[in-house]
Amino acid sequence: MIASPHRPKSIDELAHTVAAIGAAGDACALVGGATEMGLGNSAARPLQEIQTTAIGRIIEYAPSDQTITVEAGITHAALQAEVRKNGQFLALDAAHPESASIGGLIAVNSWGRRRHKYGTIKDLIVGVGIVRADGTRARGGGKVVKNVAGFDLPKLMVGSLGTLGAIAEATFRLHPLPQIERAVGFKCSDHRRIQEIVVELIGHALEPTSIEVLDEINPLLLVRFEGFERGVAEQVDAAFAIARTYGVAIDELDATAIGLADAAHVRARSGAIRLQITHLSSAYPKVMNGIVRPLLPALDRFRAVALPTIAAVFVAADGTTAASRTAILEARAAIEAAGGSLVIHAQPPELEVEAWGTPPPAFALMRALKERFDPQGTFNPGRFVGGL
Amino acid sequence: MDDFATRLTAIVGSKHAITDPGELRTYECDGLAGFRVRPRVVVLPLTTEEVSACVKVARAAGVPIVPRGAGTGLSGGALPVEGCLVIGLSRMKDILEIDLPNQRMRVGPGVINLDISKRLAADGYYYAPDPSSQSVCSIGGNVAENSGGAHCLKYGFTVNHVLGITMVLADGAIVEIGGTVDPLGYDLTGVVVGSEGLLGIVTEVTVRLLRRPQATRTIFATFPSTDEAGAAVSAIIAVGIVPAAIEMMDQLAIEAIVASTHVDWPLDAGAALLIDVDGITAEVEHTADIVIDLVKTAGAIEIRTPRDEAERALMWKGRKGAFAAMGRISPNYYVQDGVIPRSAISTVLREIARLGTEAGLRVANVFHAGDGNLHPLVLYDGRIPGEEAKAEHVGGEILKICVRHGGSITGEHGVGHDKAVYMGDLFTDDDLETQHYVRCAFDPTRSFNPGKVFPTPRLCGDRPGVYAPSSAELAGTAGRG
Repeated sequence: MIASPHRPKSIDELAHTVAAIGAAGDACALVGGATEMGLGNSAARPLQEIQTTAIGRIIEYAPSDQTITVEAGITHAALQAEVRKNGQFLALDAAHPESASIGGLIAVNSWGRRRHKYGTIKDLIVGVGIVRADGTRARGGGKVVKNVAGFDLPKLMVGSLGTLGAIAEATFRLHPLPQIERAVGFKCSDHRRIQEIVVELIGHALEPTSIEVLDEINPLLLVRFEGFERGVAEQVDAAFAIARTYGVAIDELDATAIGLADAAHVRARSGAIRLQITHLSSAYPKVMNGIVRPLLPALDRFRAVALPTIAAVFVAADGTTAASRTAILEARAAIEAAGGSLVIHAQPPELEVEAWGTPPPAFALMRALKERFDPQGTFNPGRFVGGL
Repeated sequence: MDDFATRLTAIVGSKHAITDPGELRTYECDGLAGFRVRPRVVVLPLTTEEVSACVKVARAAGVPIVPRGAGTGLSGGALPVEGCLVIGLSRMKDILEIDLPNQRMRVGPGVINLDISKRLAADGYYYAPDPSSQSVCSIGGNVAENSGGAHCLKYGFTVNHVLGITMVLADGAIVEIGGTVDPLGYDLTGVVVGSEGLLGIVTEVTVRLLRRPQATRTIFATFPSTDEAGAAVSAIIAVGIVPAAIEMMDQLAIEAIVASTHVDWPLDAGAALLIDVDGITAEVEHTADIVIDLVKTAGAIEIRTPRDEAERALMWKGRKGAFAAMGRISPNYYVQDGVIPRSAISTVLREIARLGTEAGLRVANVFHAGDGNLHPLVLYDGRIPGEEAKAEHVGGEILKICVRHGGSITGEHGVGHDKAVYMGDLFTDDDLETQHYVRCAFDPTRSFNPGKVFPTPRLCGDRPGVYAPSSAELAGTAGRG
């Protein structure tokens, strides 16, 4: 990064900046709140930093249509504060809402526990505006929730790490704020039993907001419900009944007081090292017992959150040990052999583990996309999957 | 039989390579029957490998390829182009794997949408996207069009329910895309779904299965006009309820549906809403009561809730058969598909009515009110000279109204052949050029479905805008676009 970052104040200024960097044959990275900078490999070339924090306007908010269009630099918290006034919210968790920018969250495909009910950004984004490597502005999608005109550029940008274009603005679908939220915790240390309970919750057609397994030492299956009071009450009762059937202790917890332990935080907040393991949902106990448990002792002061219905586990630790690198690579080999992945979200420089793992079978198509969108490698060169 | 057809016959067998002009007629059009082009050859392969081999033969001969599912599409996405090979996927209708523990199913592209849910009914699972044609349309076509349906207000579209695909690319290569949680790299599944057959041929689809909700309640309400019905929709959304579906029908649509399905809906109502709320039993009871109150307050004339599943099914059959029902009240009709912000429904419906009056044509409306996805049906008599052209003109003007209100030219039927000309109203040249990058990355020779989606021919040269004809174009065997 160069010492004096660019700070464009409008999308047009951003376009000028990108065009100038491209024309000079240089490379750049957009930076919002800088909350997930650890994701990805080192850049192949020096990057000029373009800060998006001054491009943060709400372009259009239509409460009755439950859609909002914002500039990429707006923070998660600022967006939520605006739409909350109308009893709405963007159904996306963020670990650092006060600083995380919407553009950054799109670029890294950030998500948290609400994914169980609402999906990821891919399920919420309906339009995107980008600045191409040649400085041209272009849009994809639209401003209405239902729209199949043209190729889906919004989805292509989600999780692209900004390697195809500079994400400049986006339109989202919003949801009504739930009337109430309640949470229950099943005390259960056996991952097989946890899986049975989860299958039971789904089998009863309950509709939790999130299903998380916290604390790998004394596992707690934390299930949250939100919505109208009567529906939530019925679901809490059903959860207690399931716990009785399985002879597992269950407590109602204060839904507001347990926020900091959740998935988004383990993914993107705490720890010098953070990683995400994805797997096949049905393999949950095997992954926890055979891959996650053996990995943890090789990390210093670890935390883990598993999301069995998403089929993902986040692990964070304060530091590494001499065994860390080998243990992570072994875990990656094992999970890849089972059809999953292990992605590093943050690591100390000395660990030097490639961030993404083995590129997928369709990698040649991804390379072709990169070459079409960014032929000179202006955006974040080398940081993405397979060196894109 | 020419050499091209002979080579294709060797791959799929003589029964499944069609060259007879009479038999080719079946494949001249899709659901947009006003346009017809006879393909050079149609093949009906059975396996991914056969599809790949056919693509290679076509590529070697410089022949454009048009993929085809069940042929129910309404935008001419499967309309052949001059001299093309149509690859029909209707024989690839095997359910390849049912994986309930992971709530997914792998199917061939020829599997009929509704057959997935039927197959899973006993297990309590279903496949959510439900286009009105779901009893005849295929999953491969749904993937191409990113099909929606009445219940996508709550559950999303095809793209939200496809986990992975197998695809044959322009060079015949077979590639696996997605299929895992958070697949590494760019979201290729997300961009292939809805790409209207321009990026490759999808030969396997892994879909997400949902658990059937505990309870569903259906509410049917009639109103003096679409204004009150529109107000009811807004009121329901405003209190924070997300119904599974809110469908609106105007007086003409009700008349046609009553004539064709024998539901006993009142013919004098100006508009009707058909609403589903589903989810947790106690919540559904609660939200259904609120919906009924709101509908009353908005000015409903009559509110009905079905006594049993049979009556509910009949109501939905009425709604889903609405397009076909138009045949009862008009010799011909032109189906339009546009999207507007939900809050503009009443205004836009008035503008559409005025257009119809000015043109001397009746326009029926039956649509997904919850997400603002309009389906105006322009009624005309094709025997009267000039009426068809007038109907098409009204259809086009309706799209312009949608765009002016910040909406879209298609919510679920796709751009295809029919609406490529309107893409320029919605997108700038730069927008379209950027979308074209995606096509060039997948299919630099532009062999798949040329002439669809993009309004003006574009090439995939290294320098955008510089004309560089392909060898096939120079040989006169392929066109641009």
